[in-house]
Amino acid sequence: MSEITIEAKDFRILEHLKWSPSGLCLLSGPNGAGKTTTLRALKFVRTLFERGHEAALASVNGQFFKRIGSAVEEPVVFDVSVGDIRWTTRFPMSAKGSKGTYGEELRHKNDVVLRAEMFEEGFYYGGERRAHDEVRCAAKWLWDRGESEWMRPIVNMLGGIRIYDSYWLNQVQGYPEFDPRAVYLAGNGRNLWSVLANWKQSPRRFDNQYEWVMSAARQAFPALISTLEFDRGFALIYPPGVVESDDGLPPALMAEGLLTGLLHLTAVAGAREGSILGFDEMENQLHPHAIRSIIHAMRQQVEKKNLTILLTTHSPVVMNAFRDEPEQVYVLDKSNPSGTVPVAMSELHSEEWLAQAKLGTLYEHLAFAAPRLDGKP
Amino acid sequence: MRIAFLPTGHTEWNGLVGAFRELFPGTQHEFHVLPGEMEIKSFPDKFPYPGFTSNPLTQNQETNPPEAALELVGRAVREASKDKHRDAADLVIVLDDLEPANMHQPDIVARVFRSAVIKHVAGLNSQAMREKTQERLRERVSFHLFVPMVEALFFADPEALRTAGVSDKITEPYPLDRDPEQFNISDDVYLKATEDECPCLQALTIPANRKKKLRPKWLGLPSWWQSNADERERIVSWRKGHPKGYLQWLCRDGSQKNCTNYDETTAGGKALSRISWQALLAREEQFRYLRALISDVSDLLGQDPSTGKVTGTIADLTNPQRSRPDAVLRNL
Repeated sequence: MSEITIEAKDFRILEHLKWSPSGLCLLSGPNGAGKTTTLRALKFVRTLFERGHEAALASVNGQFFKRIGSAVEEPVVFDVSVGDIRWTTRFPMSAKGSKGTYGEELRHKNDVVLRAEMFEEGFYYGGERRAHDEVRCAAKWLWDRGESEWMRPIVNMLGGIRIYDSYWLNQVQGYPEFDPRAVYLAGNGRNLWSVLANWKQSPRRFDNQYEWVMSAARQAFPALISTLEFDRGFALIYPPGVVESDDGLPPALMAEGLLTGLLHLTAVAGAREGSILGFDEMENQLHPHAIRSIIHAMRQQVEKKNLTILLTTHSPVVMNAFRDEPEQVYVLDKSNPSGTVPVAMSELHSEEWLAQAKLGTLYEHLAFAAPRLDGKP
Repeated sequence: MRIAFLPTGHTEWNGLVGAFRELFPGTQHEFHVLPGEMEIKSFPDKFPYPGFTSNPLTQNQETNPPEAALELVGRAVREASKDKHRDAADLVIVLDDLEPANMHQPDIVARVFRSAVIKHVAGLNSQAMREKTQERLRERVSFHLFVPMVEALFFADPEALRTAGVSDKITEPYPLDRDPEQFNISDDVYLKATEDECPCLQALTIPANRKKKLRPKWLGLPSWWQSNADERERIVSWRKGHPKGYLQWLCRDGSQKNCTNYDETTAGGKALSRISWQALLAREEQFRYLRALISDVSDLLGQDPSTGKVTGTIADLTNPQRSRPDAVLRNL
């Protein structure tokens, strides 16, 4: 697969994000450094392409879109590259919101295929000026015409972005309506039981994803889960040793850590080949054993389906799982001479220095990704 | 040359750099202390690094070293390793105490730390990294002991005792013919002190198990622990050999925390940073462990201390000059 690069300028706390992640990656940094914002930048470009700018702005709670302190005349820029395809969007923003129409540019092998200037009501494609679509961005308009097969890598990349930054556990614990068409986990996780029930029903069609989730869940939570059963979409969980069918537990009585683990595993199992998944603070509610088991399971799927999985964390346990691959650990560290973030740990510290302690210990002792303690921004 | 101290006490953290700048003046080398300011801000309750010698070490720990020893090794070796944006320190000196609990077994203390070094190296992920780290440790890391603790130094320097807060009336130097590293006090008033002389402890209305932890060092253990003669003798012996406890007693003040105005961070650190090396090193057959430390720094810098070439007896256990074919550190 071609190298993927996501770039964002002056988006919220991020002055200049430039990142080409691949495989299982860890993103670290102190509170407020931009870990969640990095995931939101990915969510934004995906939604912008698939559902247009209004949905994209809503997907990231559009307020405070532009970085405080950035030059008034500078737009907020997003840039996505997949191999020799590059899609750039520029949003003229003030602190209060949008100042006008956003700009857009799509390049293929250094040729500008389409271009829309900021504040203009149309865009140029093939030397002709065309009016903006009401909802779709120009790149999506072009793809939907069905004439630009060369766009497939970037379309697949954008469509494969799934960001899980906040599960609605209270919804998962209740009885959300069964959706017979649900085959991917929603960003908030509320269709978990529908997805698992559908997968269970059609193991061939879904490549035994349900069985993989259950097997990994049993490894992570050996005392909590043996099987899951569904009655018209309602889930019942059976811990090991429970033989009476009436003793199945409804979601409201399941441990929250188990629910979180099932959500993570379902998100990963459902990801299609080459997808980019982001999990914000995946360690929440999880015991260290469960964290390690789930990361191990994620690695399996990364290998099998060539996934890119981005984990943000403050957990030394998560960091320690990356001890042997510091090149997969990225730090939102502004001291990088190029001025861009994040920086690979292997660029910040020598192999010799890193070998001397677990990453979690180094992080705990403020040896990297440390907050400023002098009160300065 | 960059020399880092990794001590296990507040007094050392605050005073060592000043003291060694006096002993080895010059601008071509730099002394600093670990952990750094930023790390301390984030670990207000766990600073400095805890030592591993406060309780009696056992032979079992020679193969299974305590976590505190491993943490010290890990921190020291990081400082002695070259990083992308920082050079390795030329020398990192780990400093712990040979406290009364282990005074009779310095060899075991050294072997436990040696074992922590070996365990650290064994845990590295490749043979190449193990060899590289071992080399770093042999060239750049030392382990030294204050015996029984750093406050012993003050008793050889009346001015240091005054700086620490002891009244002018009682700042007698420790007898010249007795080694402060073999600290043994025979002040009957101190040795017989009871809880009656500690109003701050009496005022505490908390359960006995919590009260035990808050007992000032100078009081020793509570009377209900002293149920048999052997135990009593052990406690008295411990107090006799505890210079910090005695210093706190000399500075006692019922209005202060622990009924003493001796504060190891401020007064202790200041006393150490201004210590009279002349007074200490004039005791040629004493301070053997301290001489090993000074000799180590002198050897690295290729510079005699301001007091003149290190002479007198040096503790064999931590002497950096001693030949050690199986050394894991510069001096161990």
